[in-house]
Amino acid sequence: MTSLDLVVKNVRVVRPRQAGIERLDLGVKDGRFALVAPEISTGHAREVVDGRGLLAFPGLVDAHTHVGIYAPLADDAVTESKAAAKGGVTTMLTYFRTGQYYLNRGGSCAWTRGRHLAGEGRIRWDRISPVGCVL
Amino acid sequence: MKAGGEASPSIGSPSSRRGTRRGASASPAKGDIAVGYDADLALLDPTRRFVLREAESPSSRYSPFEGQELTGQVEATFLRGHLIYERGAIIGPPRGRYVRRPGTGS
Repeated sequence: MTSLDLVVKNVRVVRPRQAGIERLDLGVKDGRFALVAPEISTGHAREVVDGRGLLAFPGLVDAHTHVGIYAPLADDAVTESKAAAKGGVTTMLTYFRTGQYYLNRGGSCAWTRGRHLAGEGRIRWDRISPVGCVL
Repeated sequence: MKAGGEASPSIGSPSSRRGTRRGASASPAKGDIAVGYDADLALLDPTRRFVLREAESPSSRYSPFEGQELTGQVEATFLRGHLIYERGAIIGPPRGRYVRRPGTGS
């Protein structure tokens, strides 16, 4: 059997497009779910977490945020991504647009496109950054 | 999330990139707990009661819920299999990655 990096035992799994909630174990390998089954052996797992029957949701995707709009982006990203982790959010869509929106600064479409990389290395969620170029 | 309605769409789909799944650069898939998806997870205790305190927020310094007792709380959060939050504590180094969208150039 392939060794797993992590097994989360005994959680009640909530999934989209599923009417019911199933009691399952979750096996993780290389950052992805590798095994989702009612009983996963922990013999080959590097780490085991007891889920104690808690509800397991897919890490939440916050679909609309504006990070860096009222505080410097690199600082805002730190506090907002900590708050997100506390709420179960693991992915954010952080929108940018041209105009004087971010701390009353603005720039060209190309300048705005580059903004999403600010704060790299300090951010705790994965993110997607759509850019609105208003001409 | 709409009760009884159509579930919100997931980002990406493992079935569309099964051939490249093991590659380090394979595109991520978010929003479901299923084989091939990123191991992003929120563990919630729906019965846990707690009093919300603004001072405990890493972000906002004010909340309309200050001092109120609420029910249901996230106990732990995992990002790509790494524990990043557990019972009030932020854990480990920042691991967030920018997710590139195929075909958009950004």
